[in-house]
Amino acid sequence: MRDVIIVGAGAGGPVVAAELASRGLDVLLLEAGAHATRPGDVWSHFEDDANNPLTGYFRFGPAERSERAWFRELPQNSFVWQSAGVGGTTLHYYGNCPRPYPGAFAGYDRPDKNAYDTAHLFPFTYRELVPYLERLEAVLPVQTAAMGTKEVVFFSGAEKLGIPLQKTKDTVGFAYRPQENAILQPGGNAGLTTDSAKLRYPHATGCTMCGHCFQGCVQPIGAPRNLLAKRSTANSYVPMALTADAWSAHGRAITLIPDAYAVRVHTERSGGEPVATGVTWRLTRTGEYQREDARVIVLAGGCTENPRLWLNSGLPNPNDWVGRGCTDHDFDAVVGLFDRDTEASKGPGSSARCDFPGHGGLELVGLPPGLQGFALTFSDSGVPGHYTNGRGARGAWDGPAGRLVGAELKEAFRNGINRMLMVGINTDDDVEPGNRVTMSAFPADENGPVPRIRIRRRERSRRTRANREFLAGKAAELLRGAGATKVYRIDWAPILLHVQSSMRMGRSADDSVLDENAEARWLKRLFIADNSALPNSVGGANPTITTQALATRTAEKIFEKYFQGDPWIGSESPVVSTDPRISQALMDRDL
Amino acid sequence: MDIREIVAALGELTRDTFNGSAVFVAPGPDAYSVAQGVADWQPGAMEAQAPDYIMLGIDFSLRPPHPLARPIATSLGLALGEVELPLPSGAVPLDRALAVLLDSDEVIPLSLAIALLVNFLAMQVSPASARGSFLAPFARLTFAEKAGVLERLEDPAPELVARIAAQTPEPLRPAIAGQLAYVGGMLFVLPAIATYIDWLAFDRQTKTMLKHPTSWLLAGFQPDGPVEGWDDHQGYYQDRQSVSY
Repeated sequence: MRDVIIVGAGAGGPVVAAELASRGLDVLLLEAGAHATRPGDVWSHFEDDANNPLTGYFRFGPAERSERAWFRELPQNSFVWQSAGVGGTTLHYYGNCPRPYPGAFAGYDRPDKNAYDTAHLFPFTYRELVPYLERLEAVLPVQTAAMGTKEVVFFSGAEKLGIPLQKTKDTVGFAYRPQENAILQPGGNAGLTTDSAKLRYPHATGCTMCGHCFQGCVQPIGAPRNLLAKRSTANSYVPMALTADAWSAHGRAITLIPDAYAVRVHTERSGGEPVATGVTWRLTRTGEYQREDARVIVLAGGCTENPRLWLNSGLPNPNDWVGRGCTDHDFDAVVGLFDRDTEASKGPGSSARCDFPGHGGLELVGLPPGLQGFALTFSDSGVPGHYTNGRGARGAWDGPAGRLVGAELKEAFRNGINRMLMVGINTDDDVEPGNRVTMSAFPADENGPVPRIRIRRRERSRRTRANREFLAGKAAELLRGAGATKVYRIDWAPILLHVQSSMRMGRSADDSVLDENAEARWLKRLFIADNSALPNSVGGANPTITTQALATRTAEKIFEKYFQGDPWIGSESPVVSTDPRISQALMDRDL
Repeated sequence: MDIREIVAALGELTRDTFNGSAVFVAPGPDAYSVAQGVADWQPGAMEAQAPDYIMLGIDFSLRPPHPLARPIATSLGLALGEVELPLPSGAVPLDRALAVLLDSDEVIPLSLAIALLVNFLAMQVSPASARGSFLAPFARLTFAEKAGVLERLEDPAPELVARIAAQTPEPLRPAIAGQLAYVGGMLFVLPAIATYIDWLAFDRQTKTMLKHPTSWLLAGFQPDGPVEGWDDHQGYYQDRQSVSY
């Protein structure tokens, strides 16, 4: 029997794994997708290779790319950008690590306290999470981002919004700032040359500004895995977990099994209540089923897969909130065309942002051309000039909101991808029970009945809709201030990229699945440690670091409650994931 | 009628439909773009082989048979009788060809079902599209008429949903409207991705470029080919390399 089994090696699971491995526990980490141990050999800079939703190496599917991606029913115009594999969606994330907005937490008492999703606050205070945020910021590490040309252009617009520069980690008011990113910043030749020979480690360190964050980061070429620029968990916490004995006095290296799709959580009754006891998984390469038991089970498979596994396992759901309350930041995009270079496809995906607590945030988003094509045509507002689907809002942008198609799409690209600038809108959206994951009536796949993700796009709360409109207006204002000659609002249909709260923790047992320690209310010894555990959309800030901080807190709660251990966050100095002991251990063990 | 001939001809009808769909999003100098009244001097979706990308995107998402493909095809068959399907043995009404197909054990690709639906809607928007150049009524429409079809697909009328539901097993009936809206959205993004992604120029086996992608030329992306980094470091905003706690 293991001490802990963790299902899912995305943003949250590896954090729990590394923290508990550092305490000496016997941890098994399962991941449904592939483990790219030599990413430079199997990844590339090419979009179709990486991001083709059906066949790309980052699709949500098995390692064998000739096999189909894992199906989810999407009963509306929508799209899921989720990656399988060790590292999960952090493989293609942009490393943006803004802290959550304090107004999303219990105990917040500033004048704008009613501006947030007050019915679904974190069940503890912001100050309680800060030590865990600080730990993440040290371990990953998180650094203030350098500028490329696109950031210079963005800031030229942000400076005209009449809001101050934020100079602190905490966000307490409207402000703009460089992103705090989980990216090692450029060093040596990085950012100064296009000569590949000069960009190899150690002549270059950190981000080489290649512009391929979405295809996975292998820069600088030749660097040890834990010194690659972008701090996906595949480059940070997973290497730490696999080498815990090398850097922690009490550490014990975890066991990682990739290509292992969890299909059932086992339970038994103990002390008069149901208790999680084990997990069965299917090896995707062979079809073989395996089972192990553990003293504690942690689910970290994501906002869709956790409810799927829960429901397929027949676990208790007395208040019917399993899968409910999914938040997605009700994303939107506003795009400017310029008659000067923005170099939007170069450098890290996003190194500048604005925050509007109570409404959400704006961030600069750079994309390669295939994804930019997606971003310009993915709309719920029809085709401007022809139909609007009942939407097509007008505002500070040009014409009605909607897609670019036909001559307008061609002209936008002809102007040049490096003369565009896209501002992403991360809405502080409300937890709403109708936005949910259930089981689909479509045929089951090899892993069991498949999930259905319902986002009621046109029935969002009044506050959510107002926040989105507010932010779209600010984005257009920013782009005009930066000198855009044309500004388009796309009105994206639901893009499930920042997805939160489908297995939410909460103050009330009436509308949550988890208690304040992230343990399931009706199934002891089962915890959840990914975005689905978040109580809300964290105010609209990018959620990953909040999830990882919460996962760290959850690891500590597990250790205290079920292994009679003492808390360590705040009392022990963190080991940075770039530590040379980790690099050496990875090389010694050929990991 | 030979079922193999019918399957092949319906495949051509499907492709022709998505030819018309692809150029709506990214027109080029091809005949389909010219016919819709919106063309472009630079390569577009046809040169990017976007119809293949669309069909792959629709058909590869779920192991066939797709549970809604046969209900959609069945529900629309009779309404498509005005369209003639050219077979080597002579042109036959589309409804008759479909009847033979549906009476067989052939798997109905979802792409065919969606193509039939798009053409059904095309004839609602413009009854005259039943005949003319190209195989597919949808490919014969003007740009504005195509928009009318896509509007009806994105937000399907209750009558259309009910028509398909009558041929659909009960558990799947609630999924129909949502799936049509989903596919409606994909008919925009798939051609756009195909036109501007590097899929025709990249060899997955060798991880190398076979040629400089046309899509990169269209977008002004990486003019000198792939790079490991850019010389675009502009320093730190106000020289700030850290923030306070």
